[in-house]
Amino acid sequence: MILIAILMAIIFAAAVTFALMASSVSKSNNIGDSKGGYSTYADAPLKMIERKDNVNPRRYQ
Amino acid sequence: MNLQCPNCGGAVMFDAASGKMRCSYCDSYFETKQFEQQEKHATQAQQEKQAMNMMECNVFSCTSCGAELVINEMESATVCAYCGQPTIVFNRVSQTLRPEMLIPFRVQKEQVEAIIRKRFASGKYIPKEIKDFKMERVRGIYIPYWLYDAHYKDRQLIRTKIKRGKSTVTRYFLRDAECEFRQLPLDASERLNDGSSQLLEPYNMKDLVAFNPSYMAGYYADRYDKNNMDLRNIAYDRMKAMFDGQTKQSCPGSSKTIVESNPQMHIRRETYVMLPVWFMIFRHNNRPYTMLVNGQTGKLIGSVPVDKGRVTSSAIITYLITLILSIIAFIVILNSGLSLDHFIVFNIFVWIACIGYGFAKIANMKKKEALTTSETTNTYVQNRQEGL
Repeated sequence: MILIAILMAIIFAAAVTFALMASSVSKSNNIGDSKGGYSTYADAPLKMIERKDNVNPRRYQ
Repeated sequence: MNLQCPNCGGAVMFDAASGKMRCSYCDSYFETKQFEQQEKHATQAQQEKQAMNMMECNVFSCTSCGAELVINEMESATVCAYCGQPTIVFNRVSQTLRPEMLIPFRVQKEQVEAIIRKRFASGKYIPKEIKDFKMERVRGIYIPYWLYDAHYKDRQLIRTKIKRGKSTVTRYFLRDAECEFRQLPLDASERLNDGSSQLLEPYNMKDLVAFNPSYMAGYYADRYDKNNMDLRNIAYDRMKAMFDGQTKQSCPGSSKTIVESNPQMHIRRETYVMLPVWFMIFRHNNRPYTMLVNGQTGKLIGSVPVDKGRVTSSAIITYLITLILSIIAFIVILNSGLSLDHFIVFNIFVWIACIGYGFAKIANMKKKEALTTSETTNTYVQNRQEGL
């Protein structure tokens, strides 16, 4: 049982270390936002002309 | 160019049968010599109009990466703003399209240094030699952009999946909407990756001023190599992506798919402008890296190489600590009577989640690195190094 615990712990520790290091390096070396600034939400909002929910698709295809 | 009839002002064309110029409205015939002066004046007017849209500048070429930079005729360049090599030479005086407007640099060079040094100081795994960068490598460049004002309209049928208890049902939603895009920016330079130019946004377009060459004093300008017609497809794709994102967001459920659509885009105006960007180029293991700073807002984007020695030592320490804690925890858990099968299954889930999360972070870093390092520059420099 102890051997199984040690074996599982070796793999578990490797996986957790990999995740922690990837996160840490990314936080250190990845500079800036991942998304741009222009958006329809902020800069060009949608104007809804017609809105219908739960329609029959055959009427519109 | 349309020639006009001296009698009625209608359009005049060459009539092969008579060998004379004929007006299609009043059926008058004229000798061709009568229209030579009109043609000459029209050509001159066209040239004057073109001349007003053009400006003279000095073009400098980099012998290392091939970049061409435009500089005010009174200035000169000593270091390439793209690859950082001092291999830039005067090429020629040239005419280039004159921008209608530009946003002047608001962020000064000293502020750029402070922004970058502050960010580097907080980077645990940034190599020391990069943290000690030299400010001579920082260059301000006006990047050419096209701003698009467009009306976009679409009528969409969207299919989504909605959970109802244990089952999932498919539902359809109709969205007919329109949108006015104002001053959507697209960079007109091959040197600046489209992805990284988007990451530099937003620019506050209220700061746009009428173009004056004096704004370029002390800065470089990149020449446009994508005209407004070349970028229309990209403008359409970008507008479509933003529009579709909004319409999908207005529908409930998941796995949203637009099954029917009828998009229409009408471009109202295309404006050629220049927007300010600070470039910092540095080299690490013979590979160029770029930091970009929005010259108006100070927004910083970029990627830096990793100090592998420091990462390795941190990883070893983290692993040893995690291993010891895990062994203790697992022995306690297994002795508490938990089923071995459940324990193994739980562990497998944790391994998959951790490895997936780790690779996602690495992929994100690689993506950012690709965006902020010019592929054209990298390839050219690599080829030069390999003697191709």
